[in-house]
Amino acid sequence: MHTDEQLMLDVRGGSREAFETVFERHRDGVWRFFRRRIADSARCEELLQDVFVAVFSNASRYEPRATFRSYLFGIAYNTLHAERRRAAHRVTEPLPDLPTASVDPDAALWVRRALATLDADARELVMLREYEQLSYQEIADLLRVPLNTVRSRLFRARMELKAALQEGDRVVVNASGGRKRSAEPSRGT
Amino acid sequence: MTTIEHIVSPEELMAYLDGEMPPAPAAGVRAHLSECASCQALASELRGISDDLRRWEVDAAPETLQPPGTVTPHRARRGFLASWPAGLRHAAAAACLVLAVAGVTWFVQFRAMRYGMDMPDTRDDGTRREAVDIALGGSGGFAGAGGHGGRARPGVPAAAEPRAGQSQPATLRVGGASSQPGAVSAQGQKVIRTVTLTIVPKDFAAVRPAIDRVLAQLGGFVGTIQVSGDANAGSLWGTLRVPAHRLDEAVAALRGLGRVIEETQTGEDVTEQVRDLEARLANSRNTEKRLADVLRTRTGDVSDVLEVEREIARVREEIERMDAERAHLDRRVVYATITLRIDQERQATLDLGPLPVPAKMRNAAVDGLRHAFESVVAVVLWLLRVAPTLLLWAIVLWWPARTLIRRGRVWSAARIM
Repeated sequence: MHTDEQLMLDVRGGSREAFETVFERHRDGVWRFFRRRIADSARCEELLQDVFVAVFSNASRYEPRATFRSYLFGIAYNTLHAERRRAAHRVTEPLPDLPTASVDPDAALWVRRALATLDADARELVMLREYEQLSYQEIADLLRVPLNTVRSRLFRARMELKAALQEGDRVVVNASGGRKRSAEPSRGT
Repeated sequence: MTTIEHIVSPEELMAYLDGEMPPAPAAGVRAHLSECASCQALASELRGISDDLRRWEVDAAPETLQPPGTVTPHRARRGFLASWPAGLRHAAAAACLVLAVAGVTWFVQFRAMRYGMDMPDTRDDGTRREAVDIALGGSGGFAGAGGHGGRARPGVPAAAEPRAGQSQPATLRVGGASSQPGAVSAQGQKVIRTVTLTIVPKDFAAVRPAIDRVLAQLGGFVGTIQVSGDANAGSLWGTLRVPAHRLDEAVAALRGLGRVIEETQTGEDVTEQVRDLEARLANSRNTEKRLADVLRTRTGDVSDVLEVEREIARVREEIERMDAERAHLDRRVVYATITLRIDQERQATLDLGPLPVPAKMRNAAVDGLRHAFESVVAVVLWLLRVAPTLLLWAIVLWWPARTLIRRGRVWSAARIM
């Protein structure tokens, strides 16, 4: 199976099939990137299309200097940035109240509320790490901050998240006797 | 009890758990972690946080999402200006509006000046006609200066009417009185006398009545009179006819109206002209008499008779013309011509003009509204004129511009960090 970088080189060579493969591979990741940050699903679709249009249109200039994922999410992040600037919002805005379909809706709400307790930059940093799985260096490049700053701020954000998550936590002993965290609407957040 | 040296910071531990540590340091952290209970607890917490965060799952992308190809990115559907900051858009719109209004206003005023439209409508002072010095008062008998039949338009200089064979007039300067009290001197000379006076009056309002009195006393009459100006800057121009033997009296009386700026007297000796005319008249009459005698006898054939009759007609026409000329000269000799120009010295006052200030303000406001309306109309008309052309080129250039803009946005979004 071709790597993403190999596929992009094929796309640079004009391969439509390679582009469609790239699209299929990363459609969900980009979709979730936008879906966790934009309330309107229709806008998410449009932004996703914009991202892949940018990938395809600039394929001739693509160079595999970094991982394709970092390249892709860099485009997505810039797209999101531009979208929010047009909407006169800051790049990192409070999380939207998403009517998301989730395996565990309560857990989703619980996590979102915990993330909402972070400042916008820290929240974005955590989300890029946890959900987009970008490396520290990729995050540093994307957010234009030093690597050490990423590490220290990520650690601090996670510690704050721990406290926020615990505040709304309710320990439920599952049938197997293990301990499973369940969620309830946080009080006071 | 063995004390484990804590050589791993919490951040390093986190980096190790995230797989962000190089292999060599990672081995050391791993080894330490196996022995350090606090680090193990921290590691557990960090893993738990990650596990909790991942419980927020988002629905998958719709299956209808297809690779872009025919789908137009939404950003391209939005206007180019939408990518600008709001403040910049507003400033650009305001600047365009100001430029458009300024351009239309300039265009309207330019057209007005170009085609002589009346802008502004109101005038602060009345029309001041330039009184033209029409020295060498004219011919044309009782109609006054300016030629036969009088002057049709004021301010038009009356051309002197030199006649063929006429002697050049002698010009006398200020203060010079005529040396001959009458039109016909004691030596039998016939002189046509003209005087030009330019006066700054003491009392402009009294000028016209004074002129009428002088003419009535001296037996003269007005040829032409024109009065113009306002109370602060009046002027009078006219020609007066007075008996030649009373010219000096008339001039002296008119001098009394104010300060004489200029005075010119001329005397045109037409004695020889008159004598010559009389001689020709006598000859013509004799000729006519002889021709009449020839016609009476009729000794020739019919053609001769007809020729005589034609000659008689010609001679009579010539006699009548010379009679008219003689009469004209006599009238000019009998009545001297005074060309009068009286200009009131302008006295500046605080008066703002004939119109009161409220009226001026009202007129200015009305003019302003009218100009504003005209500018709106001009803009609309301009738009109607250019709209088809703009629309045509917008259609022609829309797709290329759209493609370029879209590519520009895409390129900016695809910058590699």
